[in-house]
Amino acid sequence: MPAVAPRSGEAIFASAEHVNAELFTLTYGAIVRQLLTDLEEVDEVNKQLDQMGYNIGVRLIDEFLAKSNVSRCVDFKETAEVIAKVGFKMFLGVTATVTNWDAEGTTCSLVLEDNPLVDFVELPDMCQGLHYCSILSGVIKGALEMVSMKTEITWIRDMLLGDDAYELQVKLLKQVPEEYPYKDDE
Amino acid sequence: MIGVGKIKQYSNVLEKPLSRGKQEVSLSAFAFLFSEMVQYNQTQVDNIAELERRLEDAGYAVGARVLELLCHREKVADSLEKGTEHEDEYMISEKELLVNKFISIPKDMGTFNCGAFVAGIGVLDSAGFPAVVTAHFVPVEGQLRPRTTILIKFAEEVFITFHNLFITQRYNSMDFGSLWVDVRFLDFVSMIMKSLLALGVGGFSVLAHFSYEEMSS
Repeated sequence: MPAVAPRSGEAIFASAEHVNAELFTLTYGAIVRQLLTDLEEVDEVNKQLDQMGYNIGVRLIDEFLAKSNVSRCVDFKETAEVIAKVGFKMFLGVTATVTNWDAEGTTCSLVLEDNPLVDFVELPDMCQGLHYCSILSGVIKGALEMVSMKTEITWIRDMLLGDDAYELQVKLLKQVPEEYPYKDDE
Repeated sequence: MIGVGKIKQYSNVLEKPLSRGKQEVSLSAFAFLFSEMVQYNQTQVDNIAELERRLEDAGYAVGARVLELLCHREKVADSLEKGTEHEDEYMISEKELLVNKFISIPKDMGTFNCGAFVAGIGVLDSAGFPAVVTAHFVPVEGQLRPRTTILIKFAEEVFITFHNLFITQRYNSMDFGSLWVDVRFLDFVSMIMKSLLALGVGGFSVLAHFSYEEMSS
């Protein structure tokens, strides 16, 4: 099979089926609200959101690979760029910026310019420890784990907590060697 | 830093201008999120009725906010034609409800319908009108998957209120009295439709009066 050129995030997003972003935003809000009511502890809510994100990431990577034609990334830098420009774009219609690389090239930040999860959201005082968008970090973690990358993701900045942007720090812990004899489809 | 300049900060969410509601995300992003919501709620319940109730609650939270959003965005429209007879039930029918698109119900879960979430969105009591809104599967001949019907049943008191209003207006011999009542009443249905449409939960094709008997036959 001849190699297929990778598609841009814009192209995939444009050809995908869409839903109204407000339905998405408000549904997410309803989930967070349910969790806050059920679990009471803000930390537990963060954990649960992260877990939900992880579950999504594990499944989402299939769709991502199928639709984007992205082949194996040469290094983690490329991976980060692909997440920011293709991954975010094809699902949420927004892009992120990759910055703050460390010297080893294993830690970087994804800065979100636009975040469809947080429209209409303001955190009350009781929720100050809540990372409202924890689901996003979970998604990235889950998706990367499926392509053999163990990562640790930390929220650095959160506009809902008074910062000036949304910043996720992605740290590559290790690349798990593939166990199964694996060859890229040519 | 690149890109950061684009973000505008508002000290208060209320100062932020309302978006025009034209943004979109991919259907799969929503489907993933919705599926997680259903799965999470499954862990919190013992039976299907409870699960549907929780989904309805979640939908209700969405509906109440959409209604508010719509009220800010536009005056309630006059688009629905004036009805002749009052019936206390309305049905909205959709071949493949958005939320059910990627859902298959395990056999052991019987009649569970994720449309409960949409039904929750349609609940009108935030607009001051108590109504029971429920989602049902209705099998369609020759089709593998059933269609989903959202049934809106207004509480009896709504009709009493309307009836009283109607009479009062008549006694005041205002010419447009009855018209006003009718239009207002249909506005509510129109409002649900608008909420659901604005959210793109479905391009609802049927809006009709049905009595309960007609529905169950």
